[in-house]
Amino acid sequence: MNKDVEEVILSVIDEFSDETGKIAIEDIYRILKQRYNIDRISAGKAIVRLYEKGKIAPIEYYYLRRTD
Amino acid sequence: MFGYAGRILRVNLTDDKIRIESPDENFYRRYMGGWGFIAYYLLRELESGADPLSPVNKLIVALGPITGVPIAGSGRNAVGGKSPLTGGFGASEGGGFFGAELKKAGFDCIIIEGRAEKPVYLWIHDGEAEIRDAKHIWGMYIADSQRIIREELKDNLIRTMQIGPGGENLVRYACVINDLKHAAGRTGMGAVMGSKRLKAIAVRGHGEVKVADPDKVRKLAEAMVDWASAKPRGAGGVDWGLGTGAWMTAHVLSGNLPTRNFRDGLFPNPEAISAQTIRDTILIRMDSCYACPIRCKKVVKVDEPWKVDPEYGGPEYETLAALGSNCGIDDLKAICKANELCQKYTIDTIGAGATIAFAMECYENGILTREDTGGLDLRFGNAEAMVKLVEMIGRREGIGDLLAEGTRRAAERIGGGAERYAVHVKGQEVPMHEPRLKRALGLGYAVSPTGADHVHNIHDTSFIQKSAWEKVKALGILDQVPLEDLGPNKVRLLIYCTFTAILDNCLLMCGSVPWSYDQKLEILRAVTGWNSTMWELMKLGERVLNMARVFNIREGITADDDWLPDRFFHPQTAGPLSEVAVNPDELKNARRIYYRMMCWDEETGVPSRGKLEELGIGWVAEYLPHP
Repeated sequence: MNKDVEEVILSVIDEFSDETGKIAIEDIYRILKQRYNIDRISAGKAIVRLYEKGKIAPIEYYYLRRTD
Repeated sequence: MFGYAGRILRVNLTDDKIRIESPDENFYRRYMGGWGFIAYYLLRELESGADPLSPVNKLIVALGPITGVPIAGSGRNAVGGKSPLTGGFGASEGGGFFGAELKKAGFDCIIIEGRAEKPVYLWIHDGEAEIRDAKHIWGMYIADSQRIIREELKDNLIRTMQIGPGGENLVRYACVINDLKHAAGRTGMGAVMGSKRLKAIAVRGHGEVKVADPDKVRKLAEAMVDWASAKPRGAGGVDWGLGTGAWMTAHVLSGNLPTRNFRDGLFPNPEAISAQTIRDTILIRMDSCYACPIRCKKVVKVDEPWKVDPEYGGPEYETLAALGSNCGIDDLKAICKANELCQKYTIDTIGAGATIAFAMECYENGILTREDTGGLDLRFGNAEAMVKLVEMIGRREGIGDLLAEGTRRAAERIGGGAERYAVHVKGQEVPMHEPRLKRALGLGYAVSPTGADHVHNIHDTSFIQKSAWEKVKALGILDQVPLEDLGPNKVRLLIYCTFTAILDNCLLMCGSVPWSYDQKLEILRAVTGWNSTMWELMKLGERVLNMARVFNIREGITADDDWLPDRFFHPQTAGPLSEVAVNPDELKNARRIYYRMMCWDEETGVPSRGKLEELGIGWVAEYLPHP
């Protein structure tokens, strides 16, 4: 389940990030809720795990990008 | 004179004397209000070396020219005195409706002196004041005491500034609270009020604040209403109307969310304690202060496992972090309960959370034991223990009595190395912003006259947004500097931001309302009719900062106290700041630059006589140490 949420987040970043690869953290939460009905608490935990794994990094404070 | 009532109320609780004073217009324009009045009266009238909890100390409630004018951000008042936490300049600001009501009742400032023989409250109404018996409400939570005051004075629109049992019991970080949920949280003014046996100030006024240019004021007020009506999104695209606490994930990913007494990074569950989750679960409405369309104050209701009374509002960001992540807690309902208790007892949520986090780290390191805690398992993350401890602090029960003294004094008494877990500056607990990330904020913590403070400070990360740099161009800051910089350009930015924040604390304009510098100036001119300029206002900020500085020097605070706690000279244990620490040499150098720019002695931080004279406060120099 954890892995599923993490994979969905990565796919959302791939699909919705701009040409520089960044996406607003808040947009990720909106898309996860609207499209996948994933609540923000579960999503927040998954985002922190993805950071720990080195798969995402913050950019300009309010945005994320993939690092892998 | 426009904008002001022109009257200052002086109340001596020892001999029950009440006087009204009317300073001239130059006094008002030179010191403006809020911090300016507090610094003036503390320097002029408080004897050096006074015990902050003795009758000699003064409790000063000060408004500004904007207070009570029907325009966004005007619902604030300052409360000041010598701080029982720091032994230096104490001042804090609160919102709500109390300040506006006090102005309408005909006063710009209240100076409370002495100590009542028995508990009293002060009843101020339409230009008059009387001291009334408060024995029957002493010991009550503030919702109960407010209800009784309103009943016995037969007016349900009375506004109150009160203390609960925390202030009565002299918790050193006790606060005062307006209208049950608007705290003037910092520097321990609730303890000063408690030491005077003053339970409450109740006010009712039917007057109006006369302004020089009502049409201009109305147009400015409408402009902010229009802005708010458009419900613009916040930074990073967050929804309108969330108040503070909306960027928890971003804070975690940058290392900015204090976690387990500022020790760790990467709080694993950021959205459990976010404003968005509050909105989606337990929020019943957003409230506002007087005349403000921003509506940034949360009101929450919880029914289980604890009951949380909506009368006491809801948690702001500082509270969510202090009683949440900084204690390793992700239980939102527990945080809301602890917040409610802090309001009921009138305890600063930052002070309470930081002190509990300190105790938790002591416990995990064996410096405090179960025997010390009365059986409480004080490990990080124990939400039930945290809630229990808030109440014990408010009542000064068991270990709560020790923790009511704040981290500095508690660490000194505990010993055994506890000092290294005490995260404070000058005795005031550090707010929920990370100086290993925000370098200039860290310097701002160190040199602040009140001890660590996040309001009259800079937030380096806000300058990630281009709009922040555009704004400060109006102050002559043209060169952008990187986040991690702590050189002269960044120090200059800190200084100018501090002046503008202190200016807010004198005007009593809320910093959360996005007025531009020009708009604030326009508001002041329209309210007072003065031909003020931004130059005059920046000099006001500088003047009052120097006055607070000299007060602290007179009370024995030195450059050695302008320093950060040991914690920040080590990296966080995980996350983006796991290899980042404040460099003491860099901080020392930045402090020297700061002193030099302020025309203070580079080593001692003592303001020069010339600077004080240039600021029109040469009289302050008499309080400086003689060479």
